Amino acid sequence: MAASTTPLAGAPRPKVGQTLYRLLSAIPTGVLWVLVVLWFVPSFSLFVNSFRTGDAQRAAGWWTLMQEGGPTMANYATVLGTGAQGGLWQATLNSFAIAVPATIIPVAIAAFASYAFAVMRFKGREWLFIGTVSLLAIPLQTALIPLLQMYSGGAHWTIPLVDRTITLFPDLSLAGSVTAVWLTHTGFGLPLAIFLLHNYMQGLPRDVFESARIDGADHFQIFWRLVLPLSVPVLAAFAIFQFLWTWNDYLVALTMIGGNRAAMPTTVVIASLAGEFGIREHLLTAGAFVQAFVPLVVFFALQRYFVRGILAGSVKG
Amino acid sequence: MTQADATVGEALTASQRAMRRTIIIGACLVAVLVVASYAIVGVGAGPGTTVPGDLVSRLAGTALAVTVGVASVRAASDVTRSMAGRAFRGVIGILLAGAIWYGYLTDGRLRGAMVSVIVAVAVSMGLFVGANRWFDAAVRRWAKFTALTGFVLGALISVVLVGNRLLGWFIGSGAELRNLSWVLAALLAALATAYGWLLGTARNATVRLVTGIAGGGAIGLVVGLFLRHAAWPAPRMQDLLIWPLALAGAGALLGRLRGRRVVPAAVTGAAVGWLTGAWLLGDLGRGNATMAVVASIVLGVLVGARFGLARDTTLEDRLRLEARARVVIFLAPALLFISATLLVPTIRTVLLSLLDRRSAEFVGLNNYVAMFTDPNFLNLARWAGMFTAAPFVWGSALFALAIAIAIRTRRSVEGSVPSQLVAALVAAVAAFAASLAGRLGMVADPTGAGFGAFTGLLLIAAAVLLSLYVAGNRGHSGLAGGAGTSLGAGVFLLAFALFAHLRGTLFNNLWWVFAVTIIATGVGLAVAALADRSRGENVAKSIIFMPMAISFVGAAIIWRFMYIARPTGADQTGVLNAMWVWLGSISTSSTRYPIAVVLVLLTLATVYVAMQGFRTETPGLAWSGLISAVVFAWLAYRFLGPGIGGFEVLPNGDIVPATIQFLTVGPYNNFWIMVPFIWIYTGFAMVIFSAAIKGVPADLLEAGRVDGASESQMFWRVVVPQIVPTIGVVVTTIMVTVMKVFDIVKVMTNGNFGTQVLANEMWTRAFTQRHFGQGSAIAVVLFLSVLPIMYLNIRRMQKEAA
Repeated sequence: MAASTTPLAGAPRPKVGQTLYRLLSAIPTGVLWVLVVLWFVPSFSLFVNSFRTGDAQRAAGWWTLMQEGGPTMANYATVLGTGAQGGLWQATLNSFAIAVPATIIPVAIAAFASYAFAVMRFKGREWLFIGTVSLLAIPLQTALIPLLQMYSGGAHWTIPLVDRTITLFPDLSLAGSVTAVWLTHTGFGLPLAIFLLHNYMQGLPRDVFESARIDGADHFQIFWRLVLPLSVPVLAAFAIFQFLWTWNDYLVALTMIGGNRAAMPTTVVIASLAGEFGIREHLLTAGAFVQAFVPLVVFFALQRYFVRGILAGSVKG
Repeated sequence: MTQADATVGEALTASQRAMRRTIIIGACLVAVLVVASYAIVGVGAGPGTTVPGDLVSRLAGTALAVTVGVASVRAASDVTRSMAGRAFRGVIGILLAGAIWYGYLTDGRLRGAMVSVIVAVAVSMGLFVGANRWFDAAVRRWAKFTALTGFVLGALISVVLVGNRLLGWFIGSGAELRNLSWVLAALLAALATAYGWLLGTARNATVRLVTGIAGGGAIGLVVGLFLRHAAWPAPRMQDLLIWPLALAGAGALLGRLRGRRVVPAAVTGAAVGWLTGAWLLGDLGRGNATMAVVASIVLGVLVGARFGLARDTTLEDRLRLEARARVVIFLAPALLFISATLLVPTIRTVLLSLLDRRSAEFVGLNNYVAMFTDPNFLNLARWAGMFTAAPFVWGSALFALAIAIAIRTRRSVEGSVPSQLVAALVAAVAAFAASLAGRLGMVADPTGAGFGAFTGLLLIAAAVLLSLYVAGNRGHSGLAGGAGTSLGAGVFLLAFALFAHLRGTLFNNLWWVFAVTIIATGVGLAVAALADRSRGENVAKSIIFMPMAISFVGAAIIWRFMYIARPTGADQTGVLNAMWVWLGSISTSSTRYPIAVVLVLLTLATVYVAMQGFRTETPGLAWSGLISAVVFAWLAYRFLGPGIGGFEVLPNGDIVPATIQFLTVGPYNNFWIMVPFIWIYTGFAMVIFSAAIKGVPADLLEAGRVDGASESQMFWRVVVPQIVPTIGVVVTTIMVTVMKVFDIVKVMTNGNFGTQVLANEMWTRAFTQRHFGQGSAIAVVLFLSVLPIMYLNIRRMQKEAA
C-alpha cells in the first residue's frame, strides 16, 4: 500500500528514527517499480536483440547495442521475406485466416443460441443450457485425438445389431488445413460465448421484446434489430478474447496442421524455428515480435475492451 | 398502443432507416472504389482470370473493405469518448480498411485467405437467414412453406444417398462414363419441391391422401430406378411382413397412448418397419432390380400416405410449428458444433483410452496401469532425500518460527499457552534439528528411509498438532501477521522440497499448479495493492499486464533468451547469467570489502528500525525491518566470506566464472520453466484484484481510517476480507489453466531434463508415438483432474448469473 502518505500513529519518535522511517516508507513504491522493471526487462531484451545481427547476438548482450553500430532491420527482412528462412508473412496470413472465422462464426452462432436460451420459452431450456455451459470443463486435449481422426478420415458409425456403417461426417481431408483449426476453435469457443452472451441478454429488458412481438415482429427481427445492437459490448469483449486466444493458440494448430508448412500460423512457425536450436536462433527475436505484433496492437489500441475480454474469458476451461 | 409499443416501433423503424442509409452509402462507396481500383491496379493486373470474374472478385473484396471501414467508423463514433480518442480509432479503422482493400487487390495469398473467410461467413449467414425465411412462410403462406420443406428434405436426403454411393446416375461406359449423380440429386430435390407444393395446396382430405400416395409412390419409383447395385436389397419375406406389421402396431399403440390419431401413427410405424425389413436387415447388394424398385415404391407410398393423412393445419398449429422451428433454428448450429467438436470427441476419447495403440483391441485399464507404473510418470524412489534438502531445513525453521510467534502472541493477549501449541513447537524444532543435522553430515545415513521417516513423522506431527489447535481456536489463533507470513513461507519451501524429490510427470504438474498459482496470485495481489492510488499507477499496471497479450510460445522464446548460458570463457548474452556472473566476480574481487561495509551498515540500520517497530508496536515496520536485516546480514556474510554468484574455485585456487544452466539441470529447471507462465498470469491476477480493490466500499475504508488503522492494517483487515471471493476466482482460474500447460514446456524443453507435464506427455504419446490408447488415457486423467475445480467454477458462475 502507499504508506508514504500516512504518518504512524503512536508515540513520537527520535529524529533519526523519523528520517529512517521516511526512507523506509518509500519502500513499497520502490518494490512496485522494481517489479515493473523486472516485468519489462524480458520483452525489452528480446525487442532490442531483434535489431541486432546473429553474430552480434552471439558475441555480447543486448546492452551493447549502441557500441556495435546501432540497430539493423535485417532479421525482420529475413523472417518476413520469401527466402528459405522466411515464411512469417505467409504464416501471418494463415493466422488471420484462422483467427477471423474462428472469431466471427462462434460469435454469430453463440448469439443465436444465447437468444434462444435467454428469450425463447421451450421445454428443457434450463437443462440444455446447464449442459452446454458444463462443457466449459472439458480441456482441449480431451477432444484432440478423435477430432484429428475425424478431419483426416471422416466420422463413421456402425449401427449396432444390424451392422451397417453410416458416414456422419465425410472425409474432406481437412487435416493440415486452416479450416480444421478454426472449426475446432469454433466448437471450443461456443460454451463460453453462449454463457457470456446469455447472461448479458438475460439482463436486457424483456418487456421491450414482448411489446415488439405484439407489434408483429418475429423472433428473427427482434434478434436482429433489437438484441444484437444492444449486445455489442459483450460481443466485442468475447470477440477480442476469442481473437487473441486463437491468434496465440499453439496446441490446436500444431495438432491439426501437422507438417504442412504452407498452412502454419505464426505460433507454429516460430516454435519450429525455436526447436532447431541452431544458427537461426537469432531470427527468433524478430519472429517473436512479428507474432506478437497484432495482439500488442489490440492491447494498446483497445486496452479497455482487451481487459474486459480477458476478464470475460477467465472462466474458460 | 401503449407508450412502450410506440417506442419499440419507432426504434425498429429508426434502426431500419439507419441500416438502409448505411447500406446505400456502403454500396456507393463500393462502386466508387471498384472503379478506382481499375485506375490504381489497372485492368489486366486485377484479380480473377476473366473480365466478369475479375469484376465480381473486386466487388467482393471492396465490399469487405468497406464493411470493415464503416463498422470501425461507427464503432469509433462513440460519443462518450474524447475527440482525440475517436479520431484515433476512426483513423485506425480506415487505415485497416484501406490495407484490406489494397492487399486484396494486389496479393494473391491474401485474397485467398479473405475469400475463404467471406465464403464461410456468407454461407453460414445465408443458411441461418434462409432457415428463418423458410419458417416465416409457415404462418401465412402454407403452400410455399410445404414446397420449401419438400425442397430441403429432398435435397438433404438425395445428397446423403448420393454421397454414400447408394444412388447414382451414370451415362455411357468405359472411358466415356459420365457421372450425372448430382444432376439426379437436383432433380429429386425439384420433384420433392413440387410434391410439397401439391400437398400444401390440397384443400380436401381425400385429394390430399391421393396426392400424398401418388406423389410418394412416384418419388419412390424414381429413387428405386436409380438405386445403385450396392443398395439393392435382398430381404427375407418374413422380415418384410413381420417388421412393418409389428412397428405399425407399436406405432398405433404409442399414438393411442399419446392421445394422437391412431392411423397416421400406424402408417409411420409401417414405413419404419419396411425400411428396417428391406434395407437394414436384408443383405445389401445381393438383390435384383425389381425388388429394389418395388421396395422403394412401397416405402414411398407409405411415407406419402403419412403426409397425405396429415390434418388441415389451423393458424394455431402453424404458429406453434413456427415457434418450435424457430427454437431449433436458433439452437441447432451451436448444438451441432458443440456435439461434433466437444461432446462426441470427449466420449470417444474415453472409449479410446480402453483400446490398444491402434484402437483395435479392447485392453481394459492397461493404458492406465502402464501410465502409473512408468517411473517417468510417477517416481517416488528419492523421497527420503527431501528431508536434508535446503528448502526443507529453512521451511521447517520458518514453520517452527511461526508457532513460536503464535505462542508469544497468545501469551501476551490471553495469558495462557495451549499445550497443543507447545507440543507442535517441540515437534517442529525437532524436525528442524534433525534435518539440519542430516544436512551437516552428523547423521550416519541422511538419505535413508529410516532417517526420512523419522524426520517426516516429526514434521507431520507438528502440522497435525497445529491444525488441531487452529481448528479449536478459530479467530484468535495468533497466526495472523508475522506468524501467518512465516507459516506461509515455510509451507511454500517445504512444498518445494517435496516436489524436488518426488519426481515424474504427475508431480511436475502438481508442482506447476502449486507454485504458479501461489506466486502469480501473490505477486498480482501485491502489485494491485501497491499500485492502487500511487503515482504512475496506469503505467505500472500496463507494463505488468502487457505479457497477457503475448502468446505462451512467444513468452517461452522471450525467456529462453533470458536464460541463455554461454561457455564460461565468453561474454554472457543472457541477462540473468550476465548478472549472476557479474555478482560472482564482484563478490570475489577486492571490491567486495566496501560493499560489505555498506551491507553491515544497512543491517545495523534495519535492526534499529525493527527495534523501533517493536517498541512502538507497529508490527508491519518491525517485521519488514527484521526481514530486511536478516537479508542484509546474510549478504554481508556472503560478501565477506564465501562469496555469492556465478563463480567456481578451481583446485589450484583460480577463480573462474560459472553459469546457471537454467533449463537443463533438474529438478529446479521446472521452476525456471514456470517463470514465463508466472510472468504472464501475474498481470491477469493483478487486473482482477485491482478492480476488486477499487470496488471495496469507500465507507468501510473511511471507518477504518477513523479508527486509526495503519495502511497495512487496512489492507489485511479491511481490503483482503472484502476480496476473498475474488481471490477464489483467480486461484481456481489459474489452477485450471496451469493444469493444462503445454506450449511453454513444449517450446522450452519439450519435456526433456525431467520437466515433462501431462499435456505434453499426452501430445507426445498420441501424436509423436502414435499410441492413441495411452494418449487418450492421459487426456482422461487430465480431464478428471480439472473437473472438480471446473465444477466449483461453473457452480459459482451459475450463482453469480442467477
